[in-house]
Amino acid sequence: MNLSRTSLSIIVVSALMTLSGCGGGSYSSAAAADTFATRVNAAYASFASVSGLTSTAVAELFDAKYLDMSFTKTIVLDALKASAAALGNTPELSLFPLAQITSPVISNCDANNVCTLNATLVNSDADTTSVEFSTKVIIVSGVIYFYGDQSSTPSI
Amino acid sequence: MSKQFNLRHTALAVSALVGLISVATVQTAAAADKAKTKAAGTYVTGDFHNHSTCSDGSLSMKKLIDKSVKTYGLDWFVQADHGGSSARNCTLSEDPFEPVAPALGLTNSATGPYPPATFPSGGQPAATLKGPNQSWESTLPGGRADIKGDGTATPKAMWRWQEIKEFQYKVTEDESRARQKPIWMGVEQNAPGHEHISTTVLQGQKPWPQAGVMGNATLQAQYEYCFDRNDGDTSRGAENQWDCSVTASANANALVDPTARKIRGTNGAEAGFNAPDRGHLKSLEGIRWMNEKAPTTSYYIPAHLERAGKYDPIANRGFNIEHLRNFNNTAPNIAFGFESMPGHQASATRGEYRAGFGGPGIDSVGVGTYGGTGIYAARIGGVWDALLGEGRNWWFFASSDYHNRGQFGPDQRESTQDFYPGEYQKDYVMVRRGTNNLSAEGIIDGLRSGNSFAGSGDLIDRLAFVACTANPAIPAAAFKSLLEKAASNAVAKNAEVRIDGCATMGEKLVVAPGADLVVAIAVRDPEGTNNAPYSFPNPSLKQINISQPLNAPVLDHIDVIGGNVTGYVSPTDTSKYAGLEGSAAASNSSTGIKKVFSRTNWTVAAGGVRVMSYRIPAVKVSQYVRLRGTNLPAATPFETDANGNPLNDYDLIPQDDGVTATIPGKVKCDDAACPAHMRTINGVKYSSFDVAGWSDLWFYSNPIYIEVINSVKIAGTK
Repeated sequence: MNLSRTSLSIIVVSALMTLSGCGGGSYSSAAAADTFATRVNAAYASFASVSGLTSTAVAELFDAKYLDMSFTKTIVLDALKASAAALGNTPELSLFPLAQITSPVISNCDANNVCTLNATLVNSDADTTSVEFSTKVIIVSGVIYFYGDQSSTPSI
Repeated sequence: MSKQFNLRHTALAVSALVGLISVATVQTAAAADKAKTKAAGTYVTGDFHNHSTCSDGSLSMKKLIDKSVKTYGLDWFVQADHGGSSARNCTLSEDPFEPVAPALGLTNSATGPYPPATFPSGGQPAATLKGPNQSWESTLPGGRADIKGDGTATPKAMWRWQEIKEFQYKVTEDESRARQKPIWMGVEQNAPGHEHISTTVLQGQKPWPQAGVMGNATLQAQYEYCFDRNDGDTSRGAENQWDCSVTASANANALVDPTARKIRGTNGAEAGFNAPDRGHLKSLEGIRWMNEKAPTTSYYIPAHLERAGKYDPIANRGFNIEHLRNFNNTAPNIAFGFESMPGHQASATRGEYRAGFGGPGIDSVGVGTYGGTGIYAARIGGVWDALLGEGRNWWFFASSDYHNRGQFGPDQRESTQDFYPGEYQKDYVMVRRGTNNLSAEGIIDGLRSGNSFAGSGDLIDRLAFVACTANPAIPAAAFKSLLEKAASNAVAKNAEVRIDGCATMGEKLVVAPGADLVVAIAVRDPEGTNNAPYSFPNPSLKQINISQPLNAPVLDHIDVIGGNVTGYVSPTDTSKYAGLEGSAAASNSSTGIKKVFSRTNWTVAAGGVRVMSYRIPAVKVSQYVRLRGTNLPAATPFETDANGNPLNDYDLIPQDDGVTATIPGKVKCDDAACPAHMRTINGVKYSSFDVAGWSDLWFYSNPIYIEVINSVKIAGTK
């Protein structure tokens, strides 16, 4: 674990003092969910620059076992890396839509600390679009990561 | 005429034109505009190709405009009579008419507006000096002397340039301002070397929302004088003393007649002013003229372009793909699409497409329409896809081409010939200046942008269609939901999706190689009934045991059609540039149906909205996606094939221009309410005329381009 990740863990753990702890059970810390959303939003916001697309902050959003409709962590990071390379060489690249997360709620944690994140995804480029969604997250050493639906099959 | 002869001349024409076609007009590639830079817009409905008695229509201008923008509620309208000349005064008020039984929708009592003061076709007696069938000569204060030019017939015909400039424009502007809708003048040009082109030169016209001093249609009138095949006036527009030469068009200017100051003649054998391909050259010169005089407020859109058959260098008939390429190369900001969903959809042979349209052995290309659309756009992988496969800005439009209602009167709801503008077909065009500032300029910008769709029978009345680069850092289901919601929101507002990293119709998305895309679609299948006067079950659907009122169609499915883009073909590459329908030059073999959405895989939302999306994984090459949809399931007998492609309408309806006898139709119209005017052969009533049109409904979207970095540049759009 590098220094930045250690620092991140300390911050997150302090926000998770009410966490029922490793080993499962309910997980209801609003502060922890907000902290995760803050990390996600900071990473998403950094996509406005080429360097943001390949930042460690982005990588640290995803658990090593992340799998979502066939997308692994490696695939996600490689795709971002490819976008960064293309953006650097082609200013007219239509970078993907960006969004922010609001109203995060984490619940239904299982024995493996895999929980459900319910939140609202918002794009405000011109006309505000917001949609509620849910996805799986995992808590490792007090830090929340995207975990994905663990499906290797694209559903759309 | 042998095919060999045509191809030889076509090749010669293309070769001769190489020096004239400016390939430098190809636009610089750029990504879709950023969302924040796009003004909010709205899709508005309109029609740009219809006729009054100033050419071969049956109505006054006022009545045609009233039907279009009031009865059928179009947001904008272009009055576009044929060029040439005519004897009738279309600016007069309408005749009351004689209804034809059973006169659906009309009061037929002696106390109503109709009998006893009605007149059959042809209007009131000349002595009344009333009605749009009266002649200019009999109704102008100075009579014959007020008609300019050198005509000798009685009554004397007026050149269309005079009608437009001195009479029709004022009516159009008055109607526009009174009704507070953009209504302006165009011309359906009798194109030299071809059949017809829907044109507008807006410059000078001041339709609503402009106010104050009246504008003029002088440039539109001049265009008609200079470039309409049937305008034989040589007077330079009398006191106007027009000159039709185009700056820096040396080769063509050399052909300008010293007296008429325009290119005279058209396609024909070497005789007089005519010569092989002379007309096509003159047509190209007309586009250059528009580009010089009104580059941002003109358009040039070939009409019913398959109807007259393939191109003939010594006659004035149809269009091959090389002519469309020539038009677009000459001025892509003006020649940017075609009316491949023609008017005349209630006629005996749908769209008037048929065998022998141009005389014995000269069939419409494709013979008939296909689900009401010409084969150039209806055949997947055909002419339209070949043009899109070059990355051209070449868009799909529909028109009503209203002339008359066949055996019925103008206020009757049945028709054996045409539908009114807005009654059956509509063009839905994005206007960014918004509903509170709708303008003719904004509508032409919208037509040019490709951000439009067209359809029949109100099958759908709203569409949001967007392709976006997938954001890999957002969980896939959440990202899909976000885009579907954006599309749904856009449909609710009759607007478009405005999100960075997305492109809509007429735009291109520039993506990294290997990127995933998400295509999101929302449509509204309007609830209630359309304008069909019939509520009996759709006879085409009845064949497959679906009972659906003819006036309440339901969208059955949407096809997502995609193909690869391989770049512009050079005019010097004759084998790839020029060819007939079905040839390699007129085909895109990469095109196919990529996805089918129906009730099994779309989400139904309130108000008839259907929402859907799908992912295109790891794009490697530049490509495009477009949509079509219909009320007919795949494999509906005589209507659609197993893949859902529309079948030839000419084979479905009874027709009697075959070799010896009337050929029965294929789909019976045996409901008790099926109207009396259906073709009845050997006691069997067949789906035909307007019923055949209302039975078979389609919509087509314009494409979204996807340009993959390090693949082919898509030059025709941004």
